[in-house]
Amino acid sequence: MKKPNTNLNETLKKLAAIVSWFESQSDLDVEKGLEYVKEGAELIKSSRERLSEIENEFKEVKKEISK
Amino acid sequence: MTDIISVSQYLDGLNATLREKRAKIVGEISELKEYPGKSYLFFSLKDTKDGSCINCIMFKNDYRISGVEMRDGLEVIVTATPEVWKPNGRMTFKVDSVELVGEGALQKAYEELKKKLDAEGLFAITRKREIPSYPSRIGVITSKSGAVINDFLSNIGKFGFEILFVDSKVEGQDATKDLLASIKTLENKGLDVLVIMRGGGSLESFLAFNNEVLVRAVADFPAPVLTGIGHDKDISLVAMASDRNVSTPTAVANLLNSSWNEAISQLELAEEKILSRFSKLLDTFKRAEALVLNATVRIESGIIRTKDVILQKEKDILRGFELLSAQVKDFIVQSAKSLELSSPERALAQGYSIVRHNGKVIRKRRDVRKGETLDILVSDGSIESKVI
Repeated sequence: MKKPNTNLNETLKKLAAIVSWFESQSDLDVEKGLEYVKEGAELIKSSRERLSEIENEFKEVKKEISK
Repeated sequence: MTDIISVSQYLDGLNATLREKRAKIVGEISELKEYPGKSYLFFSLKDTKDGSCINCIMFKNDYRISGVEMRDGLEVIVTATPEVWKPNGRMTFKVDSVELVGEGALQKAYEELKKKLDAEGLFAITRKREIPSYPSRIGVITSKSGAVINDFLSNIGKFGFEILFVDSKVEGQDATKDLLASIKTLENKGLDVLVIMRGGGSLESFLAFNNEVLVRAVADFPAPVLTGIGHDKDISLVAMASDRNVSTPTAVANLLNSSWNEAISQLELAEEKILSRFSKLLDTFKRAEALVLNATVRIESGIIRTKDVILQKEKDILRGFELLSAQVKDFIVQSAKSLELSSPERALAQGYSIVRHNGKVIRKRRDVRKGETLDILVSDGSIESKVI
């Protein structure tokens, strides 16, 4: 699931879709649920990594600005 | 007077003394002999009152420069030095220059020459060369004494001018030769402009500046000529033949300064423009900086929000999955219970039995016939029986 240069926005949208799948669930499809949990875990991991990259880059930029 | 000397020695001494008797002498020309092909001419100069006379010799080059057309009977002023001609012992007067006498004659000569040169196109506007912008190497011919050079020097700007100054007489007929020599000196000096100046004066004092040879030298000068020659009534012919004439040395200086002054004001203008545009640019930059700083604050809070969102999504998904698993577990338990309740073993234990014929469960009377064998399943095994 993890792509180089994950687009954080897209990842968050996918996560939101998974969450809304769980919320609307009435079929008790635990197999599908497990797939989504796995995918969700990957997405959370990659979005955390991307966010941390963004945060670091931002800190660098901020340092440059305030010089 | 005790020393005895030779004739030659005596004449040398006498001539040396006579050289000091150089004078301007007025008289009437007579017995003019031009000797075509020779480099000199002879004439006598006669006193109009008593007929006294002197013998004169003049080199034709000096005669040409004088610009006076001599003829018998013409009254002139000669500048001459007496000398005893050693081969024949006769006294002759060496004439350097000859000039006309009286305003009327001068005026007439002036008008005639003006007409002649004008007909040649020497004063034509089309001949005039532009005084160059930003002149740098400037030749200046004038007298070193007098107000003219002072006025010029105190008004010329400090623009790094390279001034090649040649001191020259500017007054009277004598000035012609001096001016010609000065022009010659500056001819091949790569000048941007040549300046010739003198103050105002009478027609007589302007003789040199109405001299044909000088006028032509000015007109033919390799660089543009700017004259600052004042005048009373008639503008001098040199001024007319020059590329530009102004009347005072101050005006000459101002003209030479003008393009430089203009350049300086252009520079100042450009400097102002650069500064104002640069400060505008700085303003724009400052605004952009403020925007960026503002954006950083928003990005910071965006990062924090995104972190929360991710955390929340994680919780939601986990909770969703847990909920789902719990629901599935419940379903399984409920199903097991239902199954248990409806299991046949439970019925057999309670005393119910299951009757089969050839493996098929008997539910109705019509499912069996007389004599057929039946299997009766009870809680601990089966009983074989027969329909009667």
